[in-house]
Amino acid sequence: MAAAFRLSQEEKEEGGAGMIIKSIWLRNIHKRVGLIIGLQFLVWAISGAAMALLPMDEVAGGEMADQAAPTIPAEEHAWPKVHAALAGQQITKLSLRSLPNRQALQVTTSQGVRPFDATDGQPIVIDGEVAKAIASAAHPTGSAVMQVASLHELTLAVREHELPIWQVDFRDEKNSSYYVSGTIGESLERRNDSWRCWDFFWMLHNMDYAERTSFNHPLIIMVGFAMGWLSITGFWLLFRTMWRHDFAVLRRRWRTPMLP
Amino acid sequence: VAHASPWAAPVSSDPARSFRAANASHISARKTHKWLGLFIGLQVVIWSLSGLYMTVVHIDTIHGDHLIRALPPNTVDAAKLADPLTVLKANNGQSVRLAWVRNRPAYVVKGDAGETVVDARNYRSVPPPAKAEIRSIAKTTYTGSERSSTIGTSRRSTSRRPPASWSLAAMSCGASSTSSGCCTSWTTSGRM
Repeated sequence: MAAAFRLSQEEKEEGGAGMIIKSIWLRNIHKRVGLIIGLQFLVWAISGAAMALLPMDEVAGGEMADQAAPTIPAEEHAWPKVHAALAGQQITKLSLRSLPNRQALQVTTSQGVRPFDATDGQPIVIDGEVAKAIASAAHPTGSAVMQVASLHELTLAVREHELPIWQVDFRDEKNSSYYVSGTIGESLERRNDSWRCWDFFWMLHNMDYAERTSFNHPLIIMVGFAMGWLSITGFWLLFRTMWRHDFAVLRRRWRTPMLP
Repeated sequence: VAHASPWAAPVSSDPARSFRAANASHISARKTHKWLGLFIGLQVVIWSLSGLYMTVVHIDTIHGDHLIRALPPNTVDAAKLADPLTVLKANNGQSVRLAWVRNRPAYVVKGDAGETVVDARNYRSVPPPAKAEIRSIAKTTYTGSERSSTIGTSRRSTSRRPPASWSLAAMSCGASSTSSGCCTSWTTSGRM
């Protein structure tokens, strides 16, 4: 590299034919900064292209099974039991939600969220079997379940959620894992190999190698500044570069094709 | 001279031929770099500067979190509430949820005909908020001191979610619907 630099300086001195290399120092700094962050530039380009090329629908979990909403119970004796069970706790939120084969009244108090069966008002416990049924009902091909496990700590796949969570692994070609909330039985995430691949590139892209979440940390801001400087100086140098010869070669090649 | 370029191997000082051979890949790399720069240089500048902007300006600032005041949650005693399933069936809906209109509990029933809002204590229908109420809700939730200049309905959603109805947007505007930066607008999208 040093040799090349020396040579271009010599050339400049010998530029009798009107060849003057402009912005030598800028070229030199541009090259050195490029050497330092060039690898990250490559990583950004490759990971960005990979994320753009991976089909977004698949990354988001792919096709989902059509689930008919369970019928709304005809009798209305759930509500008195629900507010008896709440024992005077103040309600902040309430909604009716569909679970496979039944409707649930989901009530939020200062103590947390609790689902009750909308037919008989009994509290619903989301155990492994219920979680498995919820995940299976959402799976488009009804593939066999390999295993159901309760998470002890948040994994990368469910980093935006809170425990308790059930992980339901399917034996399908996408290696799907569905995650079901242990409190309300909501299907939280549907992860597959496309997502795992995408998330790996996302980690490379945002340079948050541990959490994969933040893209506002000092490291990426610093390298981002260097990259911005590099691209601006590079663009500037495009206009400080001799193109005459390159265009002449091109013109010659077009006139006499097939020559190397 | 016509074949010499600033980046080509030296012609005059003629070091060993082997040096030139070793330099051949070096030269083609330089050429590739130069031509790539010509064709995608501008896009690389745009990518790197837009990326830099997204890293420097924190995502919470973009979301406008600092513009929303966190209000204490409304609460209600279950004994005071009507049976949500009764309300649901009376309004021929498919789903029901509790919301807060004018700080009072209300059931929002979603059905084929859209959303119906019913007082959660006495089954009475709740009229959609008027412009003045929207303004006061916005004022309590907005942390800034600037006055809102315009209130309007828009058919297009500024967030990339499907447009909500006027009443829904008005009730949920405490939780969403801010845009950051110099322009702060309260959006209530949908049919008026």
